[in-house]
Amino acid sequence: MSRFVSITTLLLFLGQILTGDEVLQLTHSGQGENATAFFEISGTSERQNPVVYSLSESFEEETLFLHYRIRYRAEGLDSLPAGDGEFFVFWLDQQKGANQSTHSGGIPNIGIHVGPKGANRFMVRYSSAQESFGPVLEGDREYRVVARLEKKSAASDAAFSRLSLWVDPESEIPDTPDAVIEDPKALSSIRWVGFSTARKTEVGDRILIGDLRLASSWDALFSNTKTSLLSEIPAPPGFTPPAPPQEIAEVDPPPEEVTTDHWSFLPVEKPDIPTPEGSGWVRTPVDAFILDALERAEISHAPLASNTALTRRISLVLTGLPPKDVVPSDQLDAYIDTLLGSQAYGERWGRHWLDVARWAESNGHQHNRPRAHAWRYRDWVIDSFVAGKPYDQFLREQIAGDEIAPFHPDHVIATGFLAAARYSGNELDKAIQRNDILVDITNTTAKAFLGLTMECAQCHDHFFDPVTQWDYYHLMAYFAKGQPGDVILEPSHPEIEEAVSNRWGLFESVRSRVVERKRAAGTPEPVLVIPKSVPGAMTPVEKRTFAIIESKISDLPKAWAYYSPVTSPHDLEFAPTAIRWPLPFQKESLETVETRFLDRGNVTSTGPVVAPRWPQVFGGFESEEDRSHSRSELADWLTGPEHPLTARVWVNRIWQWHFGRGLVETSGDFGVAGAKPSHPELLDWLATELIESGWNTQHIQRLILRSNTFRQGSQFSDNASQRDPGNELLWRWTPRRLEAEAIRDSILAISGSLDESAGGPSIALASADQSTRRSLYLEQRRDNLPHQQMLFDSADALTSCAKRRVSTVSLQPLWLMNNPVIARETVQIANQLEPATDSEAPSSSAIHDAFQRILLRDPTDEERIALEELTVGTSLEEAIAVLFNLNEFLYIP
Amino acid sequence: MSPLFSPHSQSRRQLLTRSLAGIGASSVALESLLAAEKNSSTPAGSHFQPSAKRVIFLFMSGGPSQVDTFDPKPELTKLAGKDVPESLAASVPRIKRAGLKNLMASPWKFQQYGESGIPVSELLPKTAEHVDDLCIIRSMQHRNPVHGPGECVALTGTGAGDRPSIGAWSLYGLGSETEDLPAFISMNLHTDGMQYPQAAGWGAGFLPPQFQGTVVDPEKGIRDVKMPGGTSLSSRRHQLSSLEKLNRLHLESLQQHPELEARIRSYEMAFRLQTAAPELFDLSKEPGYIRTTYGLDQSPTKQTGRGCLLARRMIERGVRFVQLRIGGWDAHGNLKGNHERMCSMTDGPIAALLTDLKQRGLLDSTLVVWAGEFGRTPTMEGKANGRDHSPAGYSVWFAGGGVKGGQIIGRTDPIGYVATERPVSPHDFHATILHGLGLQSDKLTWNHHGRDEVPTVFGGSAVEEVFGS
Repeated sequence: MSRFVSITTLLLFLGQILTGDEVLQLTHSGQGENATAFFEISGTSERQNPVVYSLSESFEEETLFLHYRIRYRAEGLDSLPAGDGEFFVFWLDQQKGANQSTHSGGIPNIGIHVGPKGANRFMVRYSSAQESFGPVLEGDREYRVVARLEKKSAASDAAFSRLSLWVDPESEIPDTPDAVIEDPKALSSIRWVGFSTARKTEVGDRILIGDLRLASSWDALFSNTKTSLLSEIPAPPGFTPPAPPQEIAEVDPPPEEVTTDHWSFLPVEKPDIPTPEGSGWVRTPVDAFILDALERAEISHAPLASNTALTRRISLVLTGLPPKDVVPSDQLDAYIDTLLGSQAYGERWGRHWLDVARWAESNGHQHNRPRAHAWRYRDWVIDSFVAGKPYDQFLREQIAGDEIAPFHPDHVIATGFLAAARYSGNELDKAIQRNDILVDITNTTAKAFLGLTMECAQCHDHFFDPVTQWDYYHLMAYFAKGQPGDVILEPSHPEIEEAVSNRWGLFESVRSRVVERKRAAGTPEPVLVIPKSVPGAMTPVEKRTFAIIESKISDLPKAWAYYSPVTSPHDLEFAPTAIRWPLPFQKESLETVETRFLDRGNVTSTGPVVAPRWPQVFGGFESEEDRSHSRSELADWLTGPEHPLTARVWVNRIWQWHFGRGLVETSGDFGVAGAKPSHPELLDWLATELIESGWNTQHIQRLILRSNTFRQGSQFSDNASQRDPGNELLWRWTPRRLEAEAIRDSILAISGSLDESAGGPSIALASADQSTRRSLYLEQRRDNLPHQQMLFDSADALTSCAKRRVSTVSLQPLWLMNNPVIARETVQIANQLEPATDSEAPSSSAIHDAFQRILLRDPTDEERIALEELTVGTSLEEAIAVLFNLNEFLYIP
Repeated sequence: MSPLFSPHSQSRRQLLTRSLAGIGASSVALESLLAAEKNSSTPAGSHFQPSAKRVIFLFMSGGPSQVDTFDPKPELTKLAGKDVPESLAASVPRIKRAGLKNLMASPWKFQQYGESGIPVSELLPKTAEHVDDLCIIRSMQHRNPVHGPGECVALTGTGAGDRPSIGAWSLYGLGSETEDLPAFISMNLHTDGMQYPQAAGWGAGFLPPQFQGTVVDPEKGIRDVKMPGGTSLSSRRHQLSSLEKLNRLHLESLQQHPELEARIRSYEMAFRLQTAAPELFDLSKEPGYIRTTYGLDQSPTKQTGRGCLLARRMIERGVRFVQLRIGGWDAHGNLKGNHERMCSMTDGPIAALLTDLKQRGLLDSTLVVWAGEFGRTPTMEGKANGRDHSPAGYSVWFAGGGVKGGQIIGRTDPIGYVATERPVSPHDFHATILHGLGLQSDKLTWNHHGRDEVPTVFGGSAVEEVFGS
């Protein structure tokens, strides 16, 4: 039994290939024997080391014998010229290596490869440069493979320079081996052994392996009494093998019931609209809820704001740009209708969502490679707001756009939400790199749509919320079959396929040539070749061909998106972009990807495989039948009318983007540690209203924008302030600072410099200062966002940003008064206002005009006196700079 | 010196919604702003008598090799060309990049210096002269072998970089000493190539933004301090006085808007900054010997010398935390060329900084820290005569600010691969910096998402033996 458990641990730790019922076929397990499990290995068309063992100590003696049995299923067997043949080896190394490591270069390999006349033969080698072949391999027949490794001397540091092979020997040692090979530079000690498959080992190949033995003599190898040299893989610290052998077939323990009485997890129920006394003030149901709460707190609402303030407020809130003229009060509703759905509206509200989506145009971390096609997602977001796309559809396209049929490029572009994950190109450990991406996606999805801080549950059950660590990995499993990359935005056709496969083919052949060259020169394994260096190693002819292929591919429209060839019904291609060590993207590889429970979030402490499912607190599935396990399934659930969080979280964000604060102040945390809603009934009423209106975002916006609540002035009241100092009940409008983008864009709009052209690739940072396009079109490189944007508290584009901070630091006035952009725009306005004169002091009428243009109102008498001072000792442009620094300009009135 | 405010007495939401005056935030302005909300005036800092009042963090990005600088390993020379011996290999963490083949001797000799006789590589002869003031920790250790996340670990404690930087915590704990300059300044040198600086390294994380570092280009100074052509100081005064009048009228109409009040005050600070900054960056009045020792006029030391001299000038003017990030130590190939270049760039200026601080009587109150995000493998990477990243055991040093110089803490194995004695995590390292400032890392709290967050989230305690006399 103990032997069994040791193998079990091994499989949990490493196995991603060993699946289903065939995982373990235990034959016999007596004490004192060598490893005795049989298991089946399939290929992935990539280098894999699905089974690895460590020896209990390094083996440095003179001779080592090894033994295993192998049976190759005939249906998977192909040979040249019809197929490309087979590859499969057992290796012995000093290092464990990674799952993708090639154990080669002085490393004994004993296995199968394509030999003379294209036949699959038993083979021994130390490197791919030289192989020695034995008999031909036939399918569906069990073979016994025995090999001997010998040193020329007994010295511990002498090389295992001779490798001999016997296939199906009798128990007596035969005189001549079936194959022999020598390498004086071979390794001298062995600590790890394992089985490798590679490119030629396809997904359909099935190789039954078992009866692995290592011994120091032939006799010992064939006697059943010799103590094994094999030891189990040491489990990582703190890791307890979670599944006893009987439970191996189960993916994970049956979920425990999780319950909560936290308000946000309870169903949304549409409350009655209250009937406050001052019903004359009620313009939309929003007012009824707000007024009702105010009346109960004995607080009066503020009087209506001025038309100037309202016009500016509506325009700034909806478009992030100032209005040109004041709109009469009876036309404000119509004005709102004009702005909703305008391009400028899409740009401002799109930017809000981009904060939540932690969208950026580079990978992040120190290489920070650009994502040249990420802008398409930015435009998709803008277009979605402009088009008034229902929120459920908005959500679905982002979570599962590549799965939506029929094919539409926009749906694929929308998955840029998932693909916006940050990752380090410098991370050599592919398991960590991939896990980083999935963690980012899981955290962002949970925060954006559920308002939950799931990230805590990566390592432990959530401290506050009813979310377990199991839930975390179950949710993550939804995303595991896909990959971010530059996806070509049309269904694959032979021309695309050919271009992509030729590109990879040529690239790979040159790359392996470089690898072989380096290996021959003695570079130790694993030989790494940076993709960027590969084109440099091409012959002139190859270079020409490569350039032609690359230009063909570069002509195709692409987007930085998330695509799963497994769950998507469409056949799409990832453009071969030069990321350093590409993650798996082929269907065959992604099909075999599994999500595992990770102890403490540690990639090397893997637990059982987990299937996609949402957190248990939301209830399980009635039946496992008809489940797609796809991201569409997740989107269906998220947008179901019964979902307690999706609509609440979204209407709360909408509210926040109007008033500066959500009904739930922590708009990214609806959990137990988050804030309680200030108006729970209003929140639920809006949530049901959203769903009943067909998830119509603009419908909710109209309810808010038309309300008298939204149209209150900013007048202070002692009584109200005493009872509700934080204005949580909304007894007045609290002016709030414009965001970085709106500050710059407003200045450009007022000077008339604003270039309102929409969409397209971003403006490179180097030319950002010269550009007069809206700020969201400036390149968004992680850790290097435009200076002004950072200065005025933009989102960091690393994690989902629910609400921007407002800092007040002295570098901001410096930008607002001294930056060349300000200087340029103030001169522009000055020239418009007083084109002819170049007198030193500005006329008071010009300053008056500037004031009117910037604040859309006449100065009061007191202000007029203060403005007079401006005409003394300053130029007109200096005076205009002052006006741009007025709090009234910088804050939404 | 007075603290910005007490970390114990503030509710997070109150603070975030009433954002406060920021960098170089004068305590005067803030105290008046906060008077209404403060329920305790206990200083954030001073958990015990601090030995240092400020920090200069010399961050050697890319990862200097420990066995070629401060951790000599004669065994490495003997074993050169061989694999890592079995007995040692067993303890090398099984992480990527931890190569076990082909040990590589240090190309440099070590020599003992000072009364302490601590050995330092011939690469750093000038730093070596200060060895009696240095406390070298040879047993730094973590598990992240990748630059970006590693840098985040080294400066914030986690690989994701989603927590406040050590500079932000320090500033939060002690508050600002200057009304004219940002209290936490980061200068990033040699950031080209693969060494993209991680903004988290000077970020405020979940602390309010005024604790974040201000990035300053040592050549260009603080951005936007130069007024537009044609604007004179006197017209700027006119501008500011009109602006204040108009803004006050606006504020009166609203009443009670602390953020607007703070914004009005920020113009005063901006004006002071605008005046103070050029003076800070104007090195023309520094005497000739200073220019010479910092190497301002020689090519390899020009930039780093300027950075080091500016660091001294900054702390002289009350900047609390100066981070000088010097990138380029990533010696995958040609270790010899790389480290000779990096050391010739940094050795003189850093030694000059230590001398200068000492001569000015500033060293006792200034904690100087030298560290990379990790060290390098004692093995050769490939055939390129370089070393790969290795966080398993690497060296850092502390000086000044109450540090007991001339001592070595911790030990690595005989080939300098893995910390074997007194392993020190980045969290311990951060706790040590805070300790030097009189702050106890588990008492410096900030309530975030209902949790009292501390700088050392994964535990970690100060290496107290660093300090003492």
